[in-house]
Amino acid sequence: MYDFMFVIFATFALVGGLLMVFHPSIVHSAFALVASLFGVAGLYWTLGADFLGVTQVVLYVSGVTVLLLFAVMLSDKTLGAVSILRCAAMGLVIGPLAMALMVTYRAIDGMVGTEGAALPDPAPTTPAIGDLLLQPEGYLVPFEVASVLLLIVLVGAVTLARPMADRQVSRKTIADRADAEARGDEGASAPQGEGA
Amino acid sequence: METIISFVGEQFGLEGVLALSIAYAVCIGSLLGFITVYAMFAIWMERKVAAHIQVRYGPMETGAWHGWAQSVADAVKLLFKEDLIPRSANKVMFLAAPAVVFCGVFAGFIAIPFAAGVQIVDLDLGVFFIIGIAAIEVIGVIMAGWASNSKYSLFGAVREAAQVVSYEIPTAVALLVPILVVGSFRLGDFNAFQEEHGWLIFHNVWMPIAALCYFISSLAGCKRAPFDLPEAESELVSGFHTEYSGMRFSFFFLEEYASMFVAALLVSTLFFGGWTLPFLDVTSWPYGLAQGVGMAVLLVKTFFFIFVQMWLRWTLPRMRVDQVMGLGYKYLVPWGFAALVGTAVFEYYGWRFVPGVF
Repeated sequence: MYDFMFVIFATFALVGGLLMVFHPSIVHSAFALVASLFGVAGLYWTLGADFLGVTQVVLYVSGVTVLLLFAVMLSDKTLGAVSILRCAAMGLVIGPLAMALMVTYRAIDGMVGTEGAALPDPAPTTPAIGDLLLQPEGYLVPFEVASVLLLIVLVGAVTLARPMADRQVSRKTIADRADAEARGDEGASAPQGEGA
Repeated sequence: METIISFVGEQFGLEGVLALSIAYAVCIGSLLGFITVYAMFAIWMERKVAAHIQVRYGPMETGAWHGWAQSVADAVKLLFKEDLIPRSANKVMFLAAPAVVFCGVFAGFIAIPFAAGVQIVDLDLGVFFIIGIAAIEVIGVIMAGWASNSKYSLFGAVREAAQVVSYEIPTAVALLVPILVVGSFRLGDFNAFQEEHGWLIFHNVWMPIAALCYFISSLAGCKRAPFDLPEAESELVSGFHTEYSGMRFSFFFLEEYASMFVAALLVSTLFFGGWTLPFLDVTSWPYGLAQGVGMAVLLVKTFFFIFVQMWLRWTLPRMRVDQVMGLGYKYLVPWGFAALVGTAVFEYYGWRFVPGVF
């Protein structure tokens, strides 16, 4: 069973990755990347890292790639490009289902006799990760440093995203301009302007 | 799931892969059946609630009593409708998108406990898994909007992506508050905790704030009014599913109602006691009875919150895009974090309502 699931997820990761690299249409590449990341999440779960697997889905599959798709879609000029991307599309259908299959299977492991003693215990990893991250003798300091780094990146991104002229004028004007923009067009720039 | 496997093993002498496949088939079948029947009921309920809020009757003719068969008739109609694919659409993506949208929510259902022991798998990461896997839906919506090759669909998809990604933050932060108190992601643990200590909404002063934050952001996550910008009918025809018809359209509908159910069920499980009642202790009752009562209690609570979702939809006007973003980032996120930090401090000192007193 583990072998079977491994083959499914590995296929996802590999086929998705290959398609991402070789497909002519950039939007399709982005969708293929989603399928590939999903495969990797499944592989994590197969290896017993349940928390990591779900985190991968939350952060990469639904967070990062959505923003990526956003950017890619709006910059794509060949909107009606011909596609042969059945695999990646299928991957997105089978992905969540296969994940569900894997998850239930891990939970009932031992009910049905399976080989594969080399696999780690299907014990939940969340408490262990919490202990490691938040105890002083664990990785507390690197964890905090990483958080500060991410904060710096966030502030930097906001600064870069604002047009050069805006950096000179007062916050009031920026907020007003963001409001006016939001009324006019899609308003995608509103949260950035206001978040600053 | 374990129960089914051992039952099949005892009754028919099956084991191994065969028993496993039977258990999977039973679980998937019952879940699909449950979601479909529930969605038909919820759509009928939505139409009745809308009608009564607008001082009219709503469907009255189909079926004998208050048009109860209206959804059944609609479902039959949708099944027989022609499956239109626009000529300029990207075929593969267009066909796959409804399935992707539905799969995410469907996969989340495996971790949902309906009563003590009545769930497919009592996952250690329960809440996290449900929230995480349901987020796949956004990808499907973007696929749908992009592949339709229509400006309304694309606008709807872009709005949806911006909205859902933004509101994932307050959702997660608000959910962390009860998780912090209980100390587990497992949904069964929430029920056990509340059976012992009372409903979490009354646990400390921060809980109502967290519950409100979660409920509002779950509305945005389900694209329900007043956050229905992705499918704003008066501006975008019907947003990302403008080009869909027949069965594929109904998948989007099914997904919307399924995610409403998940959101309402999470509110009732995490904040309002799940299948427990404060004055009724069913733990000592015989096996089937306790489960039946628990399931009924949970479903009543869930349907109450689904009713609140509908009530809000038919009462409030749609918000503007910048107002939606402003509400998420300026109010829900700070209040969510305030509740999280406040709960952490209160838990550490053992306070509940007034610091230092009790």
